[in-house]
Amino acid sequence: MKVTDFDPSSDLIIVPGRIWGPRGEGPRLNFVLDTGSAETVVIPEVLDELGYNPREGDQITVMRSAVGHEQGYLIHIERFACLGFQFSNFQMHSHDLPDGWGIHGLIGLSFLRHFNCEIRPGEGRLFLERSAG
Amino acid sequence: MNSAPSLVPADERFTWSEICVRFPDEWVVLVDADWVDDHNFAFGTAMVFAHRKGRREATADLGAACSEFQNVGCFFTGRIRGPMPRFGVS
Repeated sequence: MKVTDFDPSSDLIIVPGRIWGPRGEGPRLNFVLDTGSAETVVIPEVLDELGYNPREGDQITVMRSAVGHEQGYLIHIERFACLGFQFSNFQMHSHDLPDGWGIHGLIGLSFLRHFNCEIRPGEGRLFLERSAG
Repeated sequence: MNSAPSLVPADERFTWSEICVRFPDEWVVLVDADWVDDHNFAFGTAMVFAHRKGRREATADLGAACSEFQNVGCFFTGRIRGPMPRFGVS
């Protein structure tokens, strides 16, 4: 069981995540825990800076939102770590997010479905353990 | 690498509270942070490698920061408003 603290006064559940790339060690970045997102998302500029190339992507994607359709791509990341766990060769959705949001990406169900979790918004704590399945 | 507008001595260390006061509503690239563990945000002190008004500019500093230092992070010191509300009041 891993315990991650977050700011209970924040509008969102913000947690650090790390991405390793061809250029080495992964910096800690701002991610929002988003159970309403199927995919785990990171902005393209982070991947560019870590040495990934969009041409290495698995496929072009389209994200539909209230304001229209925008293109992104799926790509396998060397290593992704968040909430005390990490995956190698983890598929993420590279998609732009507005600068003003203050985040680099979203932790979606593609990451969370590997675990059971308990979120305590009042305490600002998140408990995560690997699911048996 | 961008020409980072560093206003602080490179070896000066700050707590997160001090960083938020010194660089309000900015993106900061922190290096050599003494994180309390491998997955929480909390740290004692860190050096500020760069501070930027925009995320894109700060992100562009990450590659240089990672090549020169360990324990690198990039964070926003202001209030994070996040993704558009799926069910919001307009």
